Amino acid sequence: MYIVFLLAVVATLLILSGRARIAVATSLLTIAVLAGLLVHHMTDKLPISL
Amino acid sequence: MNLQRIAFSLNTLALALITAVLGGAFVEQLAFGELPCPLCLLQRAGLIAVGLGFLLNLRFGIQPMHYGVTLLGALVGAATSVRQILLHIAPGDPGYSKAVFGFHLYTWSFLSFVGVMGGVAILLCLTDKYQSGRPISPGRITGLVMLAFLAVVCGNLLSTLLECGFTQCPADPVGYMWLESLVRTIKTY
Repeated sequence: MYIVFLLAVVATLLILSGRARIAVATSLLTIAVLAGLLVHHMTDKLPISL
Repeated sequence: MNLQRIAFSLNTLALALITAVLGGAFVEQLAFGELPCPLCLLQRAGLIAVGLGFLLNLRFGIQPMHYGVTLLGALVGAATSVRQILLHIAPGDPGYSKAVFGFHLYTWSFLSFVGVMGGVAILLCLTDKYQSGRPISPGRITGLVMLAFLAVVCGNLLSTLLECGFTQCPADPVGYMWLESLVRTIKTY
């Protein structure tokens, strides 16, 4: 679960440091990981232990 | 005051509200000892994802793509809330945690995500296509809100690590797993 918050911290720091493109990419990656964790919670099928 | 400035102020207000809600959840966690369940943590992450979109607008100027980030975050957050609502929808189920003003926190969370979607739709109507993308220099209040948001996000990372460590969070957490294991390790030496 920490991975989604870690990505969110990285995205926030990138936004505040002014790197627009990579900040947007990291924000979208955060949301994708969040969606993945939700699917994992519902199915318990993904091979992860995050 | 032009539309761009109004939209900028509303983005600041939205980020401040999200920071306040996440801060409130922290107060509940620390003051009342109510540990967040895995789905509660995912809802917090959804709120943070929503906040990232507003933060992008405040830092780089208002752009539809940034609102897209907010909408995607709200969509996944709402799906998480619905999942938890459905888990406790059976008659006689007391639900997880206590109710606030008649609704459990995950129900409030769902209503908030739907509210965010409606709010972003209105903000998109205020977006001037000729001026969008021009960064507005943030004032002192906006700067403080941005830093508060960073603090809340870092706090959530720390809290989740202490609660779950590097593994999957327990379905019904009773203590800070990583913190307790650290204390045990220190006592062993």
